[in-house]
Amino acid sequence: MQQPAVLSELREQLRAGTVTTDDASLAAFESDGLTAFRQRPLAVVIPADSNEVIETVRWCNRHSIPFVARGSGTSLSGGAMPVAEGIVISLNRLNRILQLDPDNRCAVVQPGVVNLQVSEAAKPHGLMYAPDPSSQKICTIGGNVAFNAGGAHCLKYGMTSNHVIGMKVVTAGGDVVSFGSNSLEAVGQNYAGVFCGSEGLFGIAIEISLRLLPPPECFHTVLAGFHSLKAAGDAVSLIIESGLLPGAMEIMESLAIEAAEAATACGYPSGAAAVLIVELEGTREGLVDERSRLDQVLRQTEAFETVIAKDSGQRELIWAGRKSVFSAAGKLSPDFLVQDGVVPRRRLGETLERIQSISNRSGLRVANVFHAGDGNLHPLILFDDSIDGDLERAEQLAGEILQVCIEMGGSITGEHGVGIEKRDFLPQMYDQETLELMHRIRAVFDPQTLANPGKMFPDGEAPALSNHGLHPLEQAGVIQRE
Amino acid sequence: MSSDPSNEPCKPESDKELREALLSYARIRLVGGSTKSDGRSEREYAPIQLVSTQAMRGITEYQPSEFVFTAYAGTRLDEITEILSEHRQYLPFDPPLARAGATLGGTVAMAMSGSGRFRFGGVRDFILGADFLTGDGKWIRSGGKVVKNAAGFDLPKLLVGSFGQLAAMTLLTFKVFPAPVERHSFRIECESHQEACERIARLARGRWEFDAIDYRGRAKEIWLRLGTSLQSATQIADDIQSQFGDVVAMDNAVWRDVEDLRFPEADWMLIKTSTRLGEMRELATWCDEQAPFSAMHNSSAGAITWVNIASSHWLALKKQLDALRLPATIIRGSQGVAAGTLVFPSGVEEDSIAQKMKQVFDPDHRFATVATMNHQADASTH
Repeated sequence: MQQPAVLSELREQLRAGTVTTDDASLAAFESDGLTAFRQRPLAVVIPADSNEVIETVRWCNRHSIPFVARGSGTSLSGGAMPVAEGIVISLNRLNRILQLDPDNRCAVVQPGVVNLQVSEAAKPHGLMYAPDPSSQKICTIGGNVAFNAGGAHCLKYGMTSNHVIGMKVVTAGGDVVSFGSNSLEAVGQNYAGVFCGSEGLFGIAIEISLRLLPPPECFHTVLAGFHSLKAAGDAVSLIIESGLLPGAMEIMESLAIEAAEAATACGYPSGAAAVLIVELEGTREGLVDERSRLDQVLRQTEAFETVIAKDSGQRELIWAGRKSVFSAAGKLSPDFLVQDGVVPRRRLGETLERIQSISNRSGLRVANVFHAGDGNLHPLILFDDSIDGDLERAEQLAGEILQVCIEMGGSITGEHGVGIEKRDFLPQMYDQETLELMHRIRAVFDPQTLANPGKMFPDGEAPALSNHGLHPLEQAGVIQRE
Repeated sequence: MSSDPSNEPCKPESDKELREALLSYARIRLVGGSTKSDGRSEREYAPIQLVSTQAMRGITEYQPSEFVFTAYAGTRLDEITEILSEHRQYLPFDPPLARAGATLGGTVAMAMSGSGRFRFGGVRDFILGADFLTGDGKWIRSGGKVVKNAAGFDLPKLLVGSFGQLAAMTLLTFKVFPAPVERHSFRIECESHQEACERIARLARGRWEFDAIDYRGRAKEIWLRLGTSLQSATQIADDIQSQFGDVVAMDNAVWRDVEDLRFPEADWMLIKTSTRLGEMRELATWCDEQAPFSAMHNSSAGAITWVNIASSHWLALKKQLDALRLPATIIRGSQGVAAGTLVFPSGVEEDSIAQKMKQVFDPDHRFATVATMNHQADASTH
């Protein structure tokens, strides 16, 4: 094989120990949070600085070697899964916050900085970084940028792209270019915006300028129990119609409640078919008005029990239940798949009925959890991989749920991205001419199609499907899924 | 075969007519309400057919419960604002020039955000979807009609600030928010621009959740807007007063000048530049030195600086922008300097990505490129 000789050239260019090819190291990188898909890479490169990233990308270009940039590997769509005959560029050592400018509410960070560390660094200055995916204790800003990560607060605060104001990137073609600026408002075209969510197909962001915000002063967190999912959905509509803009609105139905209770004893209303978490946030003065408006609205709903968090401890317990659902699913079923789709909010009830019907037909149970404020569903499909054909049935069911989301006028992904998992569904969202334009745009950054090939578009080789259970970090309770 | 450009803009009334117009001319410039540029000055350089979006207007879908509407690019902002307000909703970034007739498409093309950009983000943060026609006549339907969508490349964002050089937008989908129950405005007078910068920095990262923080250079006044009840606003103003000194209530009507981009001379040039607080301070000081021929107003706590300047002082401003290494957009031009011109610091050229992207969207270069210039050079068109 020619590749080992080529690799030795890269080894010579970089510091000793940066390029690894031993089996143990490669095995650690062969899948991400979507453990159903695996692929062993040719080598793993762990650069120490931006120059080494640039050199590595240029080396890939010279030798037409595909590469996959990777942060902590928490992608739930297989976005960071390696490609055969390609290398993984692990960015975890690029973990410095390069600049923190409190006066202009901006931080410039390297891609390997962990999401939560940005808020921790900004906190002494009275600031925070708003996007908060559930894996924020471990996921990196580079990965957040690539997959335009979301979280529970997207309705009010937006996605990652709404908080990235500039970046320096090495394109897959090897050019180093800067987009946007460290001011909120840039002049010219919004390349920083389109780079977000490009799933690593354009290149690697090596410096990212983030918008920081002052955190809310106060929270008002309410947990309401309902006897039906529809009643919980109707409550969301009433809250929206009242003109309130909650920081978060989450719904969990009975199976998910069961899992959460088993994991955290979070004290959700017993006998509830669905619970709704509504969280208002704002100044102590402003919240007085909003609390009473929410109270009035909830009294018009069919909530049979309403719990208001009296202090931060009770608030944390309410959220702990919600955040534990996916890692707790193991108590309900040996295996599960988590899906991510979006529907218009007004069609949530109809969608959930369809999901229930598909679930009944397939014989697999589905636990529903969703960001109700923005119509982002996360159905949890429970199955047992020791039963022949169960994984395939779960995959089939997951696909049918995506079809429903498309039919409802929604999207196949709200925050996990397309990756490997959903690439066959992209043509159902966009027509051929639009997809062709996307390919041409990709070629501007990546003329050889070297960056994360086989992702997003339905033109790559499908890796073998196999189930490997929870991501090790989920098993350890370090990260959760949305 | 291309038609010769006519003196009057053509006004397609349907997708089909728009496509026919596009393919009939070698070079076109799209115009909406002509509140920034009517494209006419560019025609001094090359024969360009103006294509007006104004006959393709109106909201096609609006679901208040979804916080989403879709409208034709030629729809006037004031028409949209009125319909949204019937449902107590709004576009939080205060798109400027609504009363003058600005359109949704022009707002996207010129990336026009106003004072409200401070709290929830700008036009780039609220656009969700875009249908558009590329220069080679292909229809593209990008983004979505739901508030959250991570599928495929976020093409609508690429159109923000594209100055009509990439595509002819037809339908645009936007996220909206519930409007504040009430609005209350206050001002704080400062001794110097330096003091103003320090105060703005503290106010912007304070607990008070302002919808807008602006700065009026000549008067050395910080303008604050709160979207809350009178009682809450009064309590917050008292709290600010205890920390910053006199806080004076203002009529909300003061924001009309910012919405209309009157800073203060309507017949002077208007330049928009992207700044941080230190750069805002430098420009404010420079404008004082040029008085009475120059004035500045800043929006979004330092981020957007508008400089209003007599054309006699344009060259001096260009030098100052170059010294500060600030790129700028000409919003209102003057003799020889077209509105819509992009001004880069010397040594900075349009990057190769922009040129390649132009080739992807518009291989025949039908959409006229905006004029660009370096601070030390003259305007040129492509």
